[in-house]
Amino acid sequence: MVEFRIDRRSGVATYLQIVQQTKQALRLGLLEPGDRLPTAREVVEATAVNPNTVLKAYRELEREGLVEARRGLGTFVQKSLGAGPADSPLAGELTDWMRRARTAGLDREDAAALFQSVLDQEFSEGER
Amino acid sequence: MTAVAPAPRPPFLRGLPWSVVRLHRTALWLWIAFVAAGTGWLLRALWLSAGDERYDPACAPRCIDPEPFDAYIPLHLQGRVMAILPLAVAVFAGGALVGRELERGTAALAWVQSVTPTRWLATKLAVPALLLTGGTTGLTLLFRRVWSTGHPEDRPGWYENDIFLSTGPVLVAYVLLGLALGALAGLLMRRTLSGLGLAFFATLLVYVLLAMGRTHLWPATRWTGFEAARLPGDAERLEVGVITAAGESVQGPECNLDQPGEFDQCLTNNEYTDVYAVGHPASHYWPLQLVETGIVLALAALACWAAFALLRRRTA
Amino acid sequence: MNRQEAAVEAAGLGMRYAWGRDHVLRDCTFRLPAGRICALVGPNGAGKSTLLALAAGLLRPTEGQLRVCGTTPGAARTRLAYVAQDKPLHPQLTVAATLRLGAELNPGRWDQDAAERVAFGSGLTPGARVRALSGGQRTRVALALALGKRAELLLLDEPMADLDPLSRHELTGALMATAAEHGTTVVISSHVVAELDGVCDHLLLLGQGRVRLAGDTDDLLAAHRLLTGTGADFGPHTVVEEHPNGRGRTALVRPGGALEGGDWLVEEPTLEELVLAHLRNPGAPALLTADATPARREEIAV
Repeated sequence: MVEFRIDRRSGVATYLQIVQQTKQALRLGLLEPGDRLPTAREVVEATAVNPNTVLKAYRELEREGLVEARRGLGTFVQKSLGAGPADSPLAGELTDWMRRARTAGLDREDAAALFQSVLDQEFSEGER
Repeated sequence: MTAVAPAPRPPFLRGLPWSVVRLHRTALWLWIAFVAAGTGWLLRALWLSAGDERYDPACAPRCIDPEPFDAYIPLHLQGRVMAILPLAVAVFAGGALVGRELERGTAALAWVQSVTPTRWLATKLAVPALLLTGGTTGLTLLFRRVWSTGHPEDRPGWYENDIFLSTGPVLVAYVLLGLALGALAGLLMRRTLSGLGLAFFATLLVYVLLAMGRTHLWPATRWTGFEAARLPGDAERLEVGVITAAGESVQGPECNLDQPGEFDQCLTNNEYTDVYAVGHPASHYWPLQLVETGIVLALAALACWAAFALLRRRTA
Repeated sequence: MNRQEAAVEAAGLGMRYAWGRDHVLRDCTFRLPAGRICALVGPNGAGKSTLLALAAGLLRPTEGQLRVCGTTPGAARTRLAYVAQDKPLHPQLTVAATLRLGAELNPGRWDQDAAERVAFGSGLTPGARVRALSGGQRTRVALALALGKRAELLLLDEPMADLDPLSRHELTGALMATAAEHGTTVVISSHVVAELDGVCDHLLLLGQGRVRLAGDTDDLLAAHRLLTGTGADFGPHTVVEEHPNGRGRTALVRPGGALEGGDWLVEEPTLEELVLAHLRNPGAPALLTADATPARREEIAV
């Protein structure tokens, strides 16, 4: 049974943490298609978070097509996630960008701030 | 379904009555001990007096008269203990039964289970009322039996406060009054100590007022002449005196009846026309008992009504 | 709009304990949809305990109406559970006898397993006398009584105050599991909102006996923004609180128009910031979100 670690001080909404950790578990192979996710009851008993938050996270995962709720049986994993897009063309472009930033005289913090602000601009909060 | 029936229980007691008995188990044991001790004491007195001719009512006017009052000490003691009983009940009801529950908030604990405050108070009153009525009735019946075996000339008078209370239904009424006043006081004060204090003094007040006014609860009989001068030994004598030539009744002076000549002389010497006496003959025992029982029960009902009204006004 | 049934609805609710005394609650109007986990927050003396006692039918309001589970608090008695702040229990009973009391007084609604799971979670033995329990253990037994009675509405007055972190986590988990399983509505009062962050999805904020905020926490957060800038005025927005920040000002506002294009940084406040700003500024208007607003008053009149 996969476990969720909820960090109340992270500033990340609780349901998002569940979504992200489920995806993480899929990437790490902790969850495979056909596996059952813990029930809302099991999650809240272990984490002491609001049940509606867990249901919201599961709905989100279902919307993304990663899991499927089967009435009366539970929520089951539909498909797995790749081991991470480290070798995709996008990663290559980002690496190029980082190198250009360094040669342009940006230090690590500057680059991170710039990245973050563009991220915030392009991906509104709550979007995935 | 995970519901599991609680452990097997005696079927005759469950729910709210069970909780009342369980919560006041100590009081219940005390009451059982009190009734048992009283019964034992009275049975012992009965056994001691059996066959003792001093106690034989058939022996008239009396058989022997060594020290008649010694023999009645157990009866006096038991009478006094029983007369205090309503005050003890008031203290219990105002303190442990109701006041403490409100002080600790455990009354509210019951009210948020599936129990309405009204049903809670009703059971809190009904269970002790039942036990107290049963025990007290038993004790008074036995007391009456022991007392009535005594010689009418020697035994404590029926009109003495402790005896009057311990021989009749009026004691049961007072016990119920103590219970009702205790519940009311506990609800009013919402504290153990002030609840039991108020209950004690309220019951005491009714007790004293009715004891003082008891002789007026039934019209007294007025005797004149020979009857007045020689009242039966078991009559309660309230007033004795003489009637003057002017027709006035004057309380106080008596004429002695022991010497036949003296009595007439006493009358003529003082220009009295007659002597008189006012009091209750033994036949007034039951009217007096019933009137007082009625009054006390009415007061108890009033206190009950007030307690329920108060509870209903406070809670939803 | 398809509205969920209301677990608690109040209209013009007022309470004072005696004539001539100040109102503990005044003119409280709010609605709590069923199935929510509601944080009842407010400083000490805000009227939280009184509101819970009224909802539990332990007190009768002096003004206004209160409906619980669609009926009067008195009639809803069998369907709600309540744990008072001081966790009253009978000291002379054992823990087992206390649970038996719950079983006897809730015929047909008692779940002995659920009660025992909560009561005996941390090495508490059935034979232990209540008078010998620690504060945290008392809380456990009191919560066991409340959870053993399978209620539709759980009213808990500062339930976690006496608990160590482990028990707090475990009991909150048990509470949430019950809510997840049975759809129970839970109201938890606290004067520390952070304690309930992540647990609650609904907020009812009381200040000086009045409702200041009521609604879904996400909706409430979405209805407020923190603006920081050097501009002099916060335009069409309702300012809840503002204070100087360097050469400029920071304000908690309820947006009354477009936020973009203004000369300020826009941030989402935390729940705690929201609560504190409203408590510091009693003059700020109260806010009830749509699902926390009762239907017309007449409709909820008892």
